[in-house]
Amino acid sequence: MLRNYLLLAWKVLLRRKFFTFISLVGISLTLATMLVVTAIIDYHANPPRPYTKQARMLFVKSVMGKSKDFTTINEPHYGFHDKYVRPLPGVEKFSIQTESTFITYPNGQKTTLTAKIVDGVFWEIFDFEFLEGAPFTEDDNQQRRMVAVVSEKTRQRYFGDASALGKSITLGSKTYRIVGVARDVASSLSVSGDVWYPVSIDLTPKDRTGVLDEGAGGFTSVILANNASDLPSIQAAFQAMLPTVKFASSNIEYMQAAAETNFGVQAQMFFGFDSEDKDYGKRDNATRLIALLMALTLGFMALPAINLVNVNVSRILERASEIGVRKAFGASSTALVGQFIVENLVLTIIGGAIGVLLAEAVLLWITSAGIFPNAVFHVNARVAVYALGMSAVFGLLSGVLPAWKMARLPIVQSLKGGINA
Amino acid sequence: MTLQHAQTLTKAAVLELAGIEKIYRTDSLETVALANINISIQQGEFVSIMGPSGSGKSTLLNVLGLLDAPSKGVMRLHGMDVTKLKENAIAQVRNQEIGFIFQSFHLVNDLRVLDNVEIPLLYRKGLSGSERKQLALEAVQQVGLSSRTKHFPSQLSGGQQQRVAIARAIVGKPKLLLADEPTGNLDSAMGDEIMNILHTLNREHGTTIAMVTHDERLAAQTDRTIRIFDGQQVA
Repeated sequence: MLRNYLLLAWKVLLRRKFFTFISLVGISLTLATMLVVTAIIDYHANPPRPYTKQARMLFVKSVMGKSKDFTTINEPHYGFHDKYVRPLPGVEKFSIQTESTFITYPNGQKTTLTAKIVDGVFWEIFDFEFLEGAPFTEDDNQQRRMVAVVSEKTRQRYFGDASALGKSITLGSKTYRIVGVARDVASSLSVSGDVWYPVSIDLTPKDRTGVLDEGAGGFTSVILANNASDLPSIQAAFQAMLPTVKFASSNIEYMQAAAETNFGVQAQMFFGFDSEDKDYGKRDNATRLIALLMALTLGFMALPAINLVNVNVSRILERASEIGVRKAFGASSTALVGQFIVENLVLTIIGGAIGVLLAEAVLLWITSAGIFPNAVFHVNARVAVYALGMSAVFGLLSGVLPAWKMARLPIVQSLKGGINA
Repeated sequence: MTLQHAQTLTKAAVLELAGIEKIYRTDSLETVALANINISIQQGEFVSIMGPSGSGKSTLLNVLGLLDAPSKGVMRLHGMDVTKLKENAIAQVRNQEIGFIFQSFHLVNDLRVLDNVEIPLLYRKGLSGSERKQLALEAVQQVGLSSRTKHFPSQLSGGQQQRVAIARAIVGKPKLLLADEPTGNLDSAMGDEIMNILHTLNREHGTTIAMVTHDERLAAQTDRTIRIFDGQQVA
């Protein structure tokens, strides 16, 4: 029977090409929209390495400094993070980073390397996968040892397939001994780099004492809390700390900033920076972005979904006579509902598959356009399972009611043409 | 009346209706479509049902075919009271015992001829796909459409479509065939073709047929005529 239903479903789809096209467009757009949102939510709910502890992380990136004459939005100095953020209550681990680029010539080839300049705790917060060796430690950082971790890609550029451990890499005027090789992560992630070395090596006294007003800082920090539930109290402590910040020059009178979740950082990047924004750092950007995503999702989904239900109702109404005939020849209501549900499921699953491809294309575009700068989105296996589930639910919801209504219709009425006959 | 027909009339009744009434009720109106119908149709009989439009003849045919439930009375099929059966059981009885031919054919346009003919067998347990196909081919052959099995209904003439509908009605080898103005949408030549097929089924296969018609000429070709007027059986 099922084979027959499938065969009939296939025949109906092929025979009614226009209806099939309209339905597939509706279903695939609806599901693609749902999938894009699901993939973004899934990424944050189940972040991949090296962000697996993301639920306990807060990031301090750009801050806004206000003076009588100007507003500056910049990444602060090392001193701000070290003196004001590190001591906040509830912080389990704390790491400060900056970055730089170097032009190098491995094997005679000009190459630009992005160096991430980090402390030893960085490797305890972010769980990179190591292909060789191990990360440098906080002790290496404190002792300013000339050690480095390189990425898989850098190892390939410099040493081909050979081991990189114990070998040297020269960046600018300094040479570092390689202690570890980390598996490559997506280049759009803010922690991604070609090489990582200890932050203490390059720190100047100005970096150590500066806050925001002594030239560009360029440092960011990340907080790891004991529990995700501690994040709000740390964020509140961060806000309470801001008025206590002492600036070396008198130009800047006060600063506005936020310790944000990764999603919050992305939301801030998404909405952009505005030097006239009086609520900078105080607004819940994550909630704003979720609300916007939900509104967009509903907007994009509502029309195709309503359209699909309507198309389904008219498709089934149009087949009232067929229902009458099948019942006259012995089909039970249950068998008919089964037939229409199978037809709808076949349609929605094909639409779901197209939706997955569309969603993947949109996610690739979102990633490459940097709309959410610190994230790489994909329709992974988990999201694909959601897709299958959503397709099935969508198929059932849009098909069951009209199918059941029609299957319960008296035969004589069905044969006359349906509900309004 | 042929000798063969005389013999079949002595057999047990296929259908017996006693005191059948059909009343349609709305909030403010009660319409009596059938009143006190008492009919017995014997095995192998070819019966026509006649009456003016709105007289209740199609309603009677629907009741005979278990497509519509009577409001009152008893109906026996092969001696079994079918008025008290539940929906699924009635569906099974229709599937096993009754074949339908409709005035407007009611073929499924999305399906080819053979798939249309196969429909009743889909709801019959224990038949494999190849058995269904074989039975459908035999039925199509019986109505002379073997060369059209892969056509869609829209590619056939009205007469051919009605022959497909007859093949569908007989594919499950029902004992009772109910035809609602089977030639009503056809010209006289095609109508005669259809009547010939029905006569062949009745004479050579012993199929019991009840046919609603407006046409006295066609009614005259049947064993007897039941006449309905204003929902009442007048002959």
